[in-house]
Amino acid sequence: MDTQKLVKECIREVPAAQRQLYDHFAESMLGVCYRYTKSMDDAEDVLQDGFVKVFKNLGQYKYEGELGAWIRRIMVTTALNFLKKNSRYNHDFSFDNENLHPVTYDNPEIKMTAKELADLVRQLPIGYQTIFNLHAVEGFSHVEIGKMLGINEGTSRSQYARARALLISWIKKNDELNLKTGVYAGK
Amino acid sequence: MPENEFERKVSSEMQDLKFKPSENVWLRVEERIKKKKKRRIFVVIFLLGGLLLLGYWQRSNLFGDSENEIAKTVQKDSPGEKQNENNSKPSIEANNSSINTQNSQTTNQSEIKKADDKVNPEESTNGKTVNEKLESEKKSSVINNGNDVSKNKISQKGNPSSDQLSKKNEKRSAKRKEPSSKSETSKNIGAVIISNDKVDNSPDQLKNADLVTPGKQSQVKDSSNINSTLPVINSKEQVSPTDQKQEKKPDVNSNTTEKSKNDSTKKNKSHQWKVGVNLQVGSSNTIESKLLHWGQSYAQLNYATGSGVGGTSYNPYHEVSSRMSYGFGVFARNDLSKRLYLNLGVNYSLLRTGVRVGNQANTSQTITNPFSYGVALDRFYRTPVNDSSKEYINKYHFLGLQSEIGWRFSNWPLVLNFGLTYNRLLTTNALIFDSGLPGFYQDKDAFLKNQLFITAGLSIPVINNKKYSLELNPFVEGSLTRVLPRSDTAQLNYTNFGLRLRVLFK
Repeated sequence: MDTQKLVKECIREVPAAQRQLYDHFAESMLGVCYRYTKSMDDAEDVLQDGFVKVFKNLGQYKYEGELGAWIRRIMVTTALNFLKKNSRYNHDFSFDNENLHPVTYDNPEIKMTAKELADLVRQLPIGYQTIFNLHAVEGFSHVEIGKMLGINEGTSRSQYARARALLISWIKKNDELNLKTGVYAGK
Repeated sequence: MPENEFERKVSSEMQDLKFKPSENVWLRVEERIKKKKKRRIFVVIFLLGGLLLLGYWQRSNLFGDSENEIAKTVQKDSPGEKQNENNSKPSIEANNSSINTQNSQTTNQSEIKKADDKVNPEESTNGKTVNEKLESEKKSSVINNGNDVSKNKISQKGNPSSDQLSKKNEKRSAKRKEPSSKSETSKNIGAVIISNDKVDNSPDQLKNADLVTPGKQSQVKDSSNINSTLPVINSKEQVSPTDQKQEKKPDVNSNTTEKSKNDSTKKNKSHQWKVGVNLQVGSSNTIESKLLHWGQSYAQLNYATGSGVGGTSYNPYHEVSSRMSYGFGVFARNDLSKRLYLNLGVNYSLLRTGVRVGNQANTSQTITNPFSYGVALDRFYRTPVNDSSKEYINKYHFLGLQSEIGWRFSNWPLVLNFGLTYNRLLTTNALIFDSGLPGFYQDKDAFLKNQLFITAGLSIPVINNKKYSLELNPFVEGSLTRVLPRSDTAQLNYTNFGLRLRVLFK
C-alpha cells in the first residue's frame, strides 16, 4: 500500500480510498478502542468517532511518522474524550486515593492471549485501566499522562503502580487457576 | 517509557489485539463523512439561490418601469383625476409623452373606452328616448367603420343590435353610481378626438369622432359645423374655463415632456447606487452550538471538554465573556422598489472575547489534537488558579462582503434589515484550550477562515437632508459556520450585537 497516495486520495474524498484506509486499520484500531472501554459497542462507537476525525484531519498528516501511529494517537485521544463525556464512565473516571492497593515489583510471565490480557485490563477501574493502557501499552510517560488527563505526574505514577499491582495479582490468580484446572498442561 | 519486563510483554501482546468491526461502523462513518459534503453543497445552493433571487428582483424592477409608467399615465387619464386637471391635458400628455407610439395607442384606446363608457350613462341619466339612444348608438357605431386602431378597438366590442346596446347601456348605467357632467363627458370625448386626430387626421375620422359627443349631438347636423368645431378643440383658444387655467403655461406639451423627464430622472436616480460609510460598536462572543442562544457562554475553543477530572480542582470548562467589538466599512445602496433596498458593502470587523487564563509557561510543547496536529509551542497559558488568573482578550479580525436587504415599513419610519455576510478571518490571537497541556495555546491556523454570518436589525433614520442621510442601525449577527472545524467538543459560533451608524451620501 502506497501510504502517500492513499492519503492524498482520501483527502480528495475518494470513497474507494477511504474504504481502503478504513479496512487497513480498522481491526487494529478497534483493538485499541477495546482496551479503553468496557464493551465492544462502546469500542465501536469510539472507532467510528475516531475514523471520522481521521478523515477530517488527514490533511494535517505530515508523512513524518507512520500513518498507523498517527491514527492510533487520534483513537487514543478520541477514547479519552469518550470516557470523559460518557456518563457511564465519567463518574468512575477519578484518581482519588479511595481504593488503595499494594504496590508490587513482580514481573510475572504472561501466559494468556492478548484478548485475555485485555479483558483482565478492562476489569480494572476505569481510571486505572486508562493509565495502565497509556503507560504500559502506548508508552506515554507519566508526565505526558498527567498532562493528558489533567492530573499530576505523581498521581499518574501512583495510580499506575496500583493498577499494575492489581493486574499482576489477577494474572497470578488466573495462572494458579489455570494450573489447577490444567489449562496450561498442553503448553 | 516502560522499561520493565512486564510492561514490555504487555505492550507486545496488546499490539496483536485485533477485532473485526461490524459493517455498521463503516456505514456510519461513511454517512457522517457524506453529511459534511452535503452541508457544503446546501450552503452553496442557498447562496446561489439568494443571488438568483436578488438578480430576478433587480431585473423585474428595472424592466418593469416602462410598464409602470404606462399604467400611471393611464391612471392619470382616468375620470376621477381629470376632474382636478385640465381635461384636454391628459390626451395631450399621452400623445406627446416620451412613451413610444404603441404605448400612446394603448393610452388612446383606454381613453376611447372610457369615453365610450361615459356616453351611455349620460344618455340614461338624461332620460333620452329609446330612439334617441339608438340614434346615438348608430352615430357612435360610425367610429367602428374607421381605419384607426382606436376605432378598431371600439369595433372589437362588436356591432350589437340596438336592443342589445340599449340593454348593455342600461346595465352600464346601473353600474355607474357617479354620473359625470355633460361638459366633462364632452371634454373627454374631445380628448378622444384629438387623440384620433394624432393617429389619423382624415376629416372623416374627425367627423365620426365628434359625432360621439352627446352634448353636441344637437349641433352635429351638418358636416361644416363639425369641421369648424374640430380645430377649435385642438386649439387653446376655446378651451373650457377649467382649461384656461392651464393656458397660463406657455406650452403644455413641453411641460408634460419635462414632467415625464423629471419622473424618469427621479426613477433613474432611485435606481442609482448610492454610496455610504458605516461604523459599528457592539458586544461579541463565541457561543456553544446554537445561534442566538444567549445562555451561558461556554468553553472557549475547548478541545478536551467534559466534566472535570475528578478529585482535582481543575475544570476544563472556562466561561468566555463578551467584549466590545468594532467595525467599519463602505457600502452601496440601490432602491429595488419603494419599500425595498439592497445594500452591498465591504466591512472590517474586530470581534473580541475574554477568557481567564493562568500564568504563562515558557516551555516547548507539541500539540496534537483534532484542531492542531504536531504544532510546536514555545509557550502557553496554564489553566487559571483563582489567585493568579488574568484576563486574556481573544481578537478576531474579519474582512467581510456584506449583502443586506432593507424593508421600509409603511407606517413607521423604520427599516427592517436582513442579510448575509461572507467574512474572511484575516488573523486571530485567540486561544485554544487543550487538556493535554493542560492550558491555552495559540494556533491561528486551526480556525476556520471562511465564515458566513447572518445579520438582522432595524434602521432608524435620524437625519435626512439633500446631501446625506444618517441612520442608526441596532443589529444582531451570528455565524452560521463554526469557529473551529467540527469536533464533538467544540461547536462554537460567533455572535455579535450592537449599534451601527450609517451615513448614506446622496
